Amino acid sequence: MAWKYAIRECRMHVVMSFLCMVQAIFLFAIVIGLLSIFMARYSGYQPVQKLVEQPGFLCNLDMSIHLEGDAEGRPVQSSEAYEEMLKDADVYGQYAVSAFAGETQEIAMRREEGSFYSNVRAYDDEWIQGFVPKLQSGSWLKQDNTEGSRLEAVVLQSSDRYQIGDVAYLDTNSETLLKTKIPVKIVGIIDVNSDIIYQSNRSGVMDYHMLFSNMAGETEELDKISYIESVNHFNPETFFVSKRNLDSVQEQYVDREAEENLSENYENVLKTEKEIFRTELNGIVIIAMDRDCSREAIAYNRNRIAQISQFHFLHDLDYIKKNTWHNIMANISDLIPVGVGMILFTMISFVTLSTLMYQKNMRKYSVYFMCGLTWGDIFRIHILYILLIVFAALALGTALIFSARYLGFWREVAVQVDAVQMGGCLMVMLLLLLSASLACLSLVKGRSAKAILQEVE
Amino acid sequence: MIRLKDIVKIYNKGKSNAYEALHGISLEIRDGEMTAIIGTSGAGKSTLLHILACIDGYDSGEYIIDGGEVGKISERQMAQVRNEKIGMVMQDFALVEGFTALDNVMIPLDFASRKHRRNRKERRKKALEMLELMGMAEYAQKQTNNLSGGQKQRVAIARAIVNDPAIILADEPTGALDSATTKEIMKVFRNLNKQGRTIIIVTHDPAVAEECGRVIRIEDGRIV
Repeated sequence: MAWKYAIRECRMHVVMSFLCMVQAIFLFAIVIGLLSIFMARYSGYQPVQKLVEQPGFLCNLDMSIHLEGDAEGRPVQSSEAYEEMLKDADVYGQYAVSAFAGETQEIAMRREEGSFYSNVRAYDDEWIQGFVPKLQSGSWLKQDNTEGSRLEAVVLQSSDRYQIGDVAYLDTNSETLLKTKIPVKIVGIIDVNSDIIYQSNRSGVMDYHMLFSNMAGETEELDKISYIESVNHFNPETFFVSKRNLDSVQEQYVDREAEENLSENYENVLKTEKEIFRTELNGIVIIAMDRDCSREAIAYNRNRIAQISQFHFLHDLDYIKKNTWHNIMANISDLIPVGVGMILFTMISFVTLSTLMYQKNMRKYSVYFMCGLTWGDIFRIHILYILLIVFAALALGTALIFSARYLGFWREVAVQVDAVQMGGCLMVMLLLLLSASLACLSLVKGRSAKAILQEVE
Repeated sequence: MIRLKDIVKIYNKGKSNAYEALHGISLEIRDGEMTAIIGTSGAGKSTLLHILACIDGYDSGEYIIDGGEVGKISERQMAQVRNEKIGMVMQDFALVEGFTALDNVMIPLDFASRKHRRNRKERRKKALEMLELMGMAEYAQKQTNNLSGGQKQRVAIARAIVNDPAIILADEPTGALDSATTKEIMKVFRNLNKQGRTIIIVTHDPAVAEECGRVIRIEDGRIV
């Protein structure tokens, strides 16, 4: 019944309701605008925020070598080996794999440019879990896919060469090819515009962007140099696999491959006892440390990394974090006081108008009281009425934004209506209702119904 | 039956301008009585009526309606009493402007407790019946601000009786009406009383008081 009378209020006070709605739309526009500006900058950082906001280092590793022991002088092939040379560090690594992914005849026939071999890159579980690039189709790598039965890959490609479900084959990039090529099933295709964790190609910006490469950006660079010079540049096709998955799958082929290749080619293709492909720690690496680690441990690891590694850059994660927030909040800090001021002003104006309406309706409400409602019921009708206005404003505002976007306005503007913006609007809505309620309650509080009736008479 | 015992009402209690409007009023009104409460301005008659209508409280004493003491019931139960047991008619009609006559009469039906609420169709039918009883059926869809004083008061009475309350309280119901319309409205009250309803009318008008079977005079907050 309360809804019926709340809707009737809207019909009876069309002009006032409209004015309130316009104010609410204005309020939501400010909230959506401010949050959109923030989110446009923050949304890129959010997926890697946890990775960045911990003690440690961000390193764009070219290669690292063992300084002592049996492996002295040899490249570091795993995060675990790298961790052993540091103090209390957890390394999130990725690897350049000495393998190429090739196509089946069927896939090669599908396209006209001829066959092509793609680079293979392997991720530690921390990266698989830590950052999921935007996918064009399929799914991202699984952390638990380590049973060894099947190698799965997600492909970054500039053409539509591979599709989900295609099976390609891994082979070594040395002269001696494998007798049995290792099948790799494509489970996902990365969006060509997506940021990915690879070799950083954002060295100009000293914030979280340094974590990422972008194939679209890299391709522009490649166009300038016209040929692929090193693994540090993007190959137009790259297969990303799980390091653990790669290790466990290739283990199945090790014995047979060793035997067949030795007997036929007199050459051992194996890199180690259990590995056919050599993996080198390479590209963006995070060296994470405990939150309560000492300054000495941090300083030790910084020096140690410098000793054992060749890198394009090495930065404290804290430095990256500070720069990131500085860049995210640039200009927004100036806008916040203005925005908050406008929000407050509009809220006060809205609450004043709604209180005036309550005051104006007191006579009617006293009739409702006389006819059997409590002041609580009457108050609920008024709040439902305000809620209707505010919801209508939110719906209309959102519809306007979507229409504007549909019609092509604001294409260059980062105005978005996502969960965060809607959450902000809902919070403002609650604040509006709360302040409107308090203002209206103050009109009734401490006065008897008779006093209210007499006043309105 | 309505019974008041030593009802005291103090306005602005605890403040320097506190004053006692009713000094221990005791009275009993039996079912089916038609009673007029008369007195000079400020005598306390409207205060008494508002206490009877459960729209104002009292500071001490007992108010018993149909065997239940009003002072001991919750706000919700008091609202239910106003809705089901009491119909109120005011001097200024107390109609909701912007509502049609029918909408106004439907208000008490809409606000009935869930247990007693009729469905929408029945509510509408009942409201139309009441308007018809008051000779206002043809004005059902008219906005109340387009009606004459007499018509407004008929709509107000229709609203007061739509939930079949046993008690009708009227605060100067003819105060804003001419003598011809006053007669008409009093006829309506008499008819309602004949149907067995208890009618209590606060009035200045001796002619109106004469039409009631019982007259209670109040002076300075006391029944004399």
